[in-house]
Amino acid sequence: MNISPITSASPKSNVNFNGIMDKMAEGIAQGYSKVGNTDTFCKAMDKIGGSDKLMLHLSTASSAVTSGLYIYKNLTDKKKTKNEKITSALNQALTFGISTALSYGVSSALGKASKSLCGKFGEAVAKRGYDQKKVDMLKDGAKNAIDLVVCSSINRFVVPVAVTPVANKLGAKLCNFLNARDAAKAAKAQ
Amino acid sequence: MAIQAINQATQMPKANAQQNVNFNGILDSKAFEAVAEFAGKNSATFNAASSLLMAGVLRPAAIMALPAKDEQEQKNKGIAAAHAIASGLIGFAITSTVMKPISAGLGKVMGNTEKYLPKLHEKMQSNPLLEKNVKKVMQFGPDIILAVPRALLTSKLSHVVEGVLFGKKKKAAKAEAAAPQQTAQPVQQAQSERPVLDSFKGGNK
Repeated sequence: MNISPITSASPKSNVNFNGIMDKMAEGIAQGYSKVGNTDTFCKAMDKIGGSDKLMLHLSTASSAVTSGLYIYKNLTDKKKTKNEKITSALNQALTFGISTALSYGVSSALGKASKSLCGKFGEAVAKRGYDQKKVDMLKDGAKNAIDLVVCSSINRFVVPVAVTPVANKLGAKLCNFLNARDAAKAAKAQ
Repeated sequence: MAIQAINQATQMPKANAQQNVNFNGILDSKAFEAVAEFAGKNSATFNAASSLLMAGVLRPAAIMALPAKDEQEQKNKGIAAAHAIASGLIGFAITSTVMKPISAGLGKVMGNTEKYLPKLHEKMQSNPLLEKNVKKVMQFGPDIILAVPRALLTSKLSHVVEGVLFGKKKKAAKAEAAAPQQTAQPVQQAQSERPVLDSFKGGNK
């Protein structure tokens, strides 16, 4: 599953609110305000706002759009051979499918593991005599680092790497099957 | 003495393995605190840089380290690795440019919902889950819209990366594939110069 860049760019980032960036941020905030105060948005949030899996669904929708486009671009790429087109498209499809299945299947367990590790780090840091501001900052940072190792690495690293040899083999088999079918059709036509 | 040394040598890795599995040791370490401090102070940079490192360096390196049965599998691995690098670079570029003002704008909205979202403000105050979900919907809206240019740019860049990193191998493979045809031609020409002999042998017909 592709990871959302907007969730990576935390709203708490150290953005300089002076000058151009402040004006841009204010303009975007006004845009959000216009959309967020429409009746359609408010009604939609009344309906889906209580879902505890909304983030997962949105992440899946975003990944579906990106992966779908990757698959389309791979299949219509004139610079690639038939085998390369099929294998690349299969690679994308398998990565999306397995990551999505894992997200729905084990994301809550991974989330709990991540939360538990964050809690342990919080306990350890609390004993070091830092002020509350530094403790909060360290906890935020630890959450980022732990989430990266426990959750993000599966979608960004483990699944795409594990899927590559599978896609290579399936791609070769599918390509051979299609070639044999085309050859049989051509033989019949003659 | 020798037996003691062997015992110590065999026991040491076991002790180290137990320490490695013990997450408390890692969480208590000063090194992890330094990582947490950097990630806490520079959350956007940490997220973007770690994504770039994972997708742009570790993932392609691991893909290229996988065994390949033949030349075609090697090429397909190169395509997957080039896609990973392109995806990492485009993700990093988008996060550090387009997403910065968007996330700053969203930060403003969620920091003052009374001003920016008056219709939902009261409901969000009484329902933290609704507040969280409003924020997520607003985060993913532009993300889904940006998925289109992101995918197109990644696709274009992956060709460039593939050409730069694996272009030489492709050229070499093409040259190797073309070489046997070039050597076969003179034989055919030589044969065609002797039509009688060729026809006798059942050659070119």
